[in-house]
Amino acid sequence: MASSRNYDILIKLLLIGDSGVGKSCLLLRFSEDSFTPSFITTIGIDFKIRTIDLDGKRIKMQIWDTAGQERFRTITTAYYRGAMGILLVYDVTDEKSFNNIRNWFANVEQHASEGVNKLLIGNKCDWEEKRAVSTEQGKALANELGIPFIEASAKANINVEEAFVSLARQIKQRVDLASEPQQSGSVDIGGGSKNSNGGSKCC
Amino acid sequence: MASASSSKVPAASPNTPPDSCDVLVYGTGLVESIVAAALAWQGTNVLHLDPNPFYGGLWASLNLEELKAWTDKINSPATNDTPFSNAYLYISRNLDPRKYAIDISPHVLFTRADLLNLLIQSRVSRYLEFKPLGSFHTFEQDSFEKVPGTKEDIFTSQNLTLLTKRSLMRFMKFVVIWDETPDVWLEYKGKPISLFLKEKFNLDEPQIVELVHSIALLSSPSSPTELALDRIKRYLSSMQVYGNFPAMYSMYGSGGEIAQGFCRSAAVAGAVYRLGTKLSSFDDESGVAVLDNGEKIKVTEKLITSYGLLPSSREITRMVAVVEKDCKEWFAEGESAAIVVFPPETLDGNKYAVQALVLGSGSGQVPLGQAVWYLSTQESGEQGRKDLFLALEKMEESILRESTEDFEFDVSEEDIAYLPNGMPVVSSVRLGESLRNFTPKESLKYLLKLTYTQKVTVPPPQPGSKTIYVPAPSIDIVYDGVVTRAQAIYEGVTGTTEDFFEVDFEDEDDDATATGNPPDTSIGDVADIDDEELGDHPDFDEEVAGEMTI
Repeated sequence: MASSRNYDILIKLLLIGDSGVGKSCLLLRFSEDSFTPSFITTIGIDFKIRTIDLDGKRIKMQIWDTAGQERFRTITTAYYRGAMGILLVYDVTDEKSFNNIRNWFANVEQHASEGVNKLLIGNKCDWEEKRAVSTEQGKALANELGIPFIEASAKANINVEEAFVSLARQIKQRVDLASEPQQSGSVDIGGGSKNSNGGSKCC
Repeated sequence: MASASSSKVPAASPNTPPDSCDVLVYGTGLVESIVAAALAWQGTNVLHLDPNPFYGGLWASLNLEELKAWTDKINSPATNDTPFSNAYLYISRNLDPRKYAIDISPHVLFTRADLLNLLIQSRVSRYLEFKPLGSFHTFEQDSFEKVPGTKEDIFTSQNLTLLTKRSLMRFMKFVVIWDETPDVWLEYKGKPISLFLKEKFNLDEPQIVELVHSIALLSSPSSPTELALDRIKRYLSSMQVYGNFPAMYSMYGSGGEIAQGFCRSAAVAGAVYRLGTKLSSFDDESGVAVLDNGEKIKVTEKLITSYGLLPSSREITRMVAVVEKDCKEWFAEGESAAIVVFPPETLDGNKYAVQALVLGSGSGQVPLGQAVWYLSTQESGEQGRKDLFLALEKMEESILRESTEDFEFDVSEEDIAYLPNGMPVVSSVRLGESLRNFTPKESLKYLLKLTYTQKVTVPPPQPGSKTIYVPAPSIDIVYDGVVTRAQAIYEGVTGTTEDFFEVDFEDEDDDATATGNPPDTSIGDVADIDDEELGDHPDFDEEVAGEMTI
């Protein structure tokens, strides 16, 4: 079964942050290189897949969206399980979304597994005339939280690739350092169960 | 047919709650969450609320902080919206509350179950992680016997006489086609299964007890024949679907975790979620719901609620214990779970069976080196608690004996049976030894102990025309009836079940392509012993040999 696998490492990433900061736009830009300008609350996106080459390895990135459950802070605890990397996103034109990053960070600390890689993203950095959060403020918060930081724009396609790839690289380094992955002992029940380390099982 | 791509609807403002919906679902328990997801995918505009700050309602799994708050709440005389009451909680100091997930209504999933099919069909299975449960034990005459769940087990068992083996084999041949052969059992319809097994198959008491209580997981020997046969068949047909185990459990908690998966699915399809939000009132005539923050929501179709049920006189008793032992002695190789059943009359006159689900740290519910024991009985009041404490005591003695270091764990000749081809097989885990002569040198450290009762609830006699009530979880340790109930509620809203979860998913992930059904295996094919091998064994007659492959 493993021989038909078209990747070397599978990593699960999550997007988190206030509604309207552009999480889905970042996701769609990275996975499909598309951008939808109209304001649509996230409905319909479960997760997207993109496979990249990184230092000679095929990295399959499975990136999960919030399904709109961030609107009233009703993210399921199950959303965080198994995540290897988390992108904390705010909108540089919306100070409230920036201030809420601390809350989201606390949420991640509570529910995600220890050692998960994180990245702070200030989205919509192309919109200078509406900017409310300076790059320095972003950097300072990232330093305080002890995580890397990048400003990006899904609309103008600035730094989106860099954001996802840099997080993937950190995760790859962490996974490479760890010894053999532990057998989870989970049952692969078909239908695309979460535990997909058994490799491809196309029907 | 709903499509994953057609469900994008613009919202007025991201953080303003909707002021109307087609269906208001109140409570995020398993049944309600399945209904919410099914309706959302069908195109219904669903608002899903829960008064608690966590998902799962009466099915939730809680960390220790949530558990403390929950026990305070159900013990408070002011709380009248929960079937739980009478909680006694002890928590040892210095535990990290977040490292625990205590299930308030623990359940296990057989590999042949309608819920599993639905999890695969709806793709909710990919939000979850399941682990195997292959170890079933019965407490008999002061010792724990491993349940012979396969023909191989029966064949190699040292405790069964040849006559018993033959009777059991004959019964197993029948039970897999029981629903096609009503002439065998029809006269026993509604009558106790124990009577049927004794009169029709000459089975002895120990085998009857194992079949009824450990394999069918029924509480009373007088359970109706047809129900027990259905559940025995399910156990046997669940073997070898995914491996050498008939059942599984979801990690981090049972029904509450699965409910969360359905909630996410519903959210993907457009349902709006709010936790920690109470429904203050609902006017069945106008459909106006008022929330505790004063907001008004116009419900155009139905209110589906798991609250407002009325308690009946029946109640059941539950206990949770977290112990500082990994309990691996009870688990099958590579597994982290076991079921231990104390049949009626094995604990100083207990009328009903006591069931115990034991989960190790592999379940994600307790840290490494610990295990959580979930005990339950249909007995109520003082007697219920007494039965559970006695069962707890027996389990404590057993695990201490099993894990005592100076205990010689040599496999003696008596533990080994031989297959017809000469292959030796160790007949069972050494739980089989009697506890009578064992005095533990150490004591077991309990990190948490919780007992509580659960009233069996019924819907109000005259529900409003716009209101549909969702029953509370039953004491049953299996998910039987959950999907049927969800479908009935769905039908109550849409008028049909034909498009229940009939979703045309986009294929986002080549690895996650739904396969539709679990792998197809015939019953017990690994345990099959072919005719040739049996031919060398005069103990097995032609009839038995012929039934090996179904």
